[in-house]
Amino acid sequence: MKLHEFVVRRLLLLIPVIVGVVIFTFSVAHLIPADPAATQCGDKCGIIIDYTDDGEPITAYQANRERLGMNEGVDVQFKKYVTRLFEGDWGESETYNRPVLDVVKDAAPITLEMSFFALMIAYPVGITLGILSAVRQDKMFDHVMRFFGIAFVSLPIFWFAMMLQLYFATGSAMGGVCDPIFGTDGGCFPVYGRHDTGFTYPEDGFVWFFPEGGTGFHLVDSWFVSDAKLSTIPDEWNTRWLLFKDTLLHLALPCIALGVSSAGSLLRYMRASLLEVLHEDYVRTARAKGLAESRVILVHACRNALVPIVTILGFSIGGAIGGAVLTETIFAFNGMGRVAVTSITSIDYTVIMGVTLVTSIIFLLSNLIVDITYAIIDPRVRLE
Amino acid sequence: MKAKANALLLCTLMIASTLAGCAGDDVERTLTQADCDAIGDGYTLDSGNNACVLTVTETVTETVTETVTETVTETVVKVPGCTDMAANNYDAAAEENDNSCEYGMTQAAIMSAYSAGTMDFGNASYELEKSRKCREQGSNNPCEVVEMSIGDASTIDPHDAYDSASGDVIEQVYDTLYRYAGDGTGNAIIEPRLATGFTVSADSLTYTFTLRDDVYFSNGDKMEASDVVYSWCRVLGYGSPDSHVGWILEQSFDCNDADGNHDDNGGLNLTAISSTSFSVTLFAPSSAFISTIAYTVGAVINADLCEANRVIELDTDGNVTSDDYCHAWMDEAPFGAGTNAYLVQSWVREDRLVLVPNWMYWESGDYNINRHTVSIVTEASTRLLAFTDGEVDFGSINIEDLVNFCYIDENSNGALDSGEDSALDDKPNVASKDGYICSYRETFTTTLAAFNLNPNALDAGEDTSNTDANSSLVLNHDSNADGTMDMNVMETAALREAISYAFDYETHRRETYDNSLAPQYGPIPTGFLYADTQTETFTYDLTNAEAILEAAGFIRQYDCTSLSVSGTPDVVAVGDRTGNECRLPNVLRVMANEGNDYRIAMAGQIAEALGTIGVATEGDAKPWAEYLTMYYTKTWDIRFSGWAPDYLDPDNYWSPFAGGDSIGGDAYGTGYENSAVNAALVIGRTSQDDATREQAYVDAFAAWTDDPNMIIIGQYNGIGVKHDDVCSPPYAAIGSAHWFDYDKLPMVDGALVGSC
Repeated sequence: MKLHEFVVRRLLLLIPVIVGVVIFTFSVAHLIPADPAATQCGDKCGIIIDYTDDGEPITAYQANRERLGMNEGVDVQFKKYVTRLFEGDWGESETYNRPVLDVVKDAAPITLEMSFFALMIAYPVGITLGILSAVRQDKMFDHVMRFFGIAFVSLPIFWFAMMLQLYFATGSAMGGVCDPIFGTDGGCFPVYGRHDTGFTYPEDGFVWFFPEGGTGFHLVDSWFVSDAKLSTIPDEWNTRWLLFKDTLLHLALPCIALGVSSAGSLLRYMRASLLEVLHEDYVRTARAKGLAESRVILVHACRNALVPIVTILGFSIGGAIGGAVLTETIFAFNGMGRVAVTSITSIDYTVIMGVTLVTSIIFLLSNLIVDITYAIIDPRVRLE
Repeated sequence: MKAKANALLLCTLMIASTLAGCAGDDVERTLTQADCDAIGDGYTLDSGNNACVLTVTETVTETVTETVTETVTETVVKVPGCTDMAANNYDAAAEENDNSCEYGMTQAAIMSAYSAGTMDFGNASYELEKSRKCREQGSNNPCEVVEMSIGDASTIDPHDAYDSASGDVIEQVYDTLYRYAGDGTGNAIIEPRLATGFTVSADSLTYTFTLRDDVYFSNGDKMEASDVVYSWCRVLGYGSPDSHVGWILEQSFDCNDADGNHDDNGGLNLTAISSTSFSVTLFAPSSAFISTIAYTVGAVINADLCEANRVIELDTDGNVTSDDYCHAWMDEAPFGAGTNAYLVQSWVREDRLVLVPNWMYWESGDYNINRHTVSIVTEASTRLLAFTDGEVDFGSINIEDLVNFCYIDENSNGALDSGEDSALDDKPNVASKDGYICSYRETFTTTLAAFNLNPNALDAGEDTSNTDANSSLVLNHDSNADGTMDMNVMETAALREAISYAFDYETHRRETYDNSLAPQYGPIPTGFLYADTQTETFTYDLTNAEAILEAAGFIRQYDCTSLSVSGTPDVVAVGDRTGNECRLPNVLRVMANEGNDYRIAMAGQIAEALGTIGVATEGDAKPWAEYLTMYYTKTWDIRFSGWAPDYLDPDNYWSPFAGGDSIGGDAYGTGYENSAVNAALVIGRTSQDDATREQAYVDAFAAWTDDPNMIIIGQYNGIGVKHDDVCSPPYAAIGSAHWFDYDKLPMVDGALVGSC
């Protein structure tokens, strides 16, 4: 099978999976034993807000049910949902008071940016330590790395994130370690949020924290996006750099929290994979040819040991997005994870379904990319 | 393709190898003495360190005798400039006032020029900013406040907002004719804002308001009476479809014309008389009317801008199919929409919202806060860290974390002693640790248990998770001893009175709610007008409860094992009675839902207490679906619930709680109708005379205690905490903080300058 045939086949396979996700998500959302109409009016559901033409009172609860379309059968609701979905209308969020598509569009880049940098931390660290651990098998370094590998995987993300906040984002009075070492005031990093509350310029008063618009990936946007206020600020104030630095500082702890657990598993995968490869004949042959050990390890052994690691990338992306639920809640990032939590607690059906659908698509696409990459580097996959 | 794959892998490999420090294979050479000789004379080999070492020996002998006499004269030159923070050219770096301060035009002069048309909006706004902006300098950003909140606003359209998070923002951006404020003693008052006063017609139906003549919207448009009329009619016309808050005004008046059609610009009952005066005629006299229009739903918006941004869709016949009454435009409080002290500069939903000054704001005085940021942080530990670390000025702190900032000064020595911060039970006597201000706050949020006088039972075969299931009234009491069951036992006042004595108020306030409930003896919470018309009547007294039941004829006669919700019980023959029989012919259903530990605890206690006096109950926690079915099919007898105020008037509690459906009350749909209570409440609601109203609520309370329809358990209280550099106006349990009245003391050289 040629590569493009392989890709097309995989893309076609996505369609039934997405349809299945839509059906499953809709069903689960409507099986939840909770009532969004009641959640919205709480203790005041019984208040009469209007009367029918027949003089029958209409309570706030009844009005909510009508407005949310809950008086229709589940099959009718599903048909409407699917029809609108195809028309690009994902519904209106009751929590955010906005179209679901807009909510998801704003949240997705936040999670993707965070996940991307988390993996940027996880992969180099995990692979490097995995190689070193394998090369120094059963030495002290290997023992230590294996311990940390297990520890990183086992650490609950929320606990690790809180520890990072406590030690690296607070002042020395609260136990922070940065102030005495780096002379900072209140820690190396901010406790929460995607940006500072604003940038204050003595000459101008202030400018609000980040211009709206752009791609949503703020590390990129900080160099390009603009608004009326930003355009009036003199270049010598280095606003672009300040925006970038601020974004980076706020991303650091969440990405570390998210990346470390992936790094732990990658370390162990890489170590095991490399150890297996090191016993192969071609490695022995390379050594017999008199090649330097570094070349044997890095060029001959690692190249083959990395193949299974590519497979893990798909799971890593999924894991990062899943981990974002906790990380975003703790660091107050308004990404997909936090949107999911908010919509579930407020029983906002449309957002729950929107977030699940988008997360599923991201997961499927990342696995597709992994499959394609795998097919490129290992032609045997295409032939199966 | 294979080559590309190889290149990709090699790149990955190189990054990894670089990080691993594995690249390269440099070998360190071992030095010999010959190498050292080649460097120069005197170098010897240090083989241990693989280095050449030059050893130099030098002997210096020197005697120095020196006498130095030095006189230093230092002239300190202070930085000149304007040191007056009130001046427009205040220089924070200046150390000595050089009399260069420029004060420019005053706020009054600018507004006068703008009003006269001699200054345009752009210049007026610029001059006002120069004149009014906060200029304080300090290491704590004294002109900015950052607040952390648990929940975000749902909308900033005041006419469709019914939640406190939205109200907190709306009250900064929009203004009402009157508003709620704290009086400094914990009570709330109503103070004039856009209105200067009003008169009431002899029949108490028509209110004529006069308005301030110096109020402008943030875009410079002047606010006039027509804006108020349009705003209120918008509430009725739009109908607040998301929040249903419109009922607060709908109960009082309409905007219909002579044909009964809604008129956006008034109608028969709402008329602009002049640019500063308008009148409104109510359906019926209402002493609560001023309180209702002080709620944010009574806010005034810019009528012209709303009309310009209103989206009306018509069908092919020209009929209106949808009309958003400019809600899409109003949703995020656009520039020019409101008249209050702040503007929404930026709002990223569920993330953060930033308020900045509306320089055209009418109230005289400068701004102490140039920017107010509300960050949404749902995680409690993050809020605690950010607050403690000083990243935010205040926010929602969980009650168990307050001991980090507050303590109870048990020995009243004004100092924190050992153990005084272990628990904050005695909340009214809270004290503050260094750097913080802790204050006791009693809210108007009431927790209660309502009695259902007309309890139903699900019809045979109905599903307990279907909120639309059919149910029927349980008739199990013969009111006139004619042998016919003509009512439910819950309709008897004595039974409800007895249940009221079976509730352990103190234990629940103290233990179940961990001292977060203050006593509340009747519908009116402490801090409301006429709250002192109520006295403690019901206490935990099972002996009394049993005596009341006995006197009412509810004797122990039923076989407890035969009881059900609606079935016919077995009566135990008189001679066979052991004294353990049940008093009621049925089981009372106490509603509690899974996951609500407070309600589960209270339901458990009252079930147990009633059991000891012969009243059978079932109070097990129900899954949410079943709980909802019980509520909507009215298949319950006792239900725990809560109530938060809509507006500052006793009628907002009395009528929904104890007013009958016939007078527009009975929010819980219990079927309670007490003519004496109703009569008193109508007087309380309609009278314009203070003494008459007070007496009405005395009468209502007296009638209600003889015929209670709910257990009123208490009102929530808590402790507010903030950093000690934030100065706030008196606390009010209704309405929101007004940021124009806040101040933040500057911190200079580690100390706060000034005091609150």
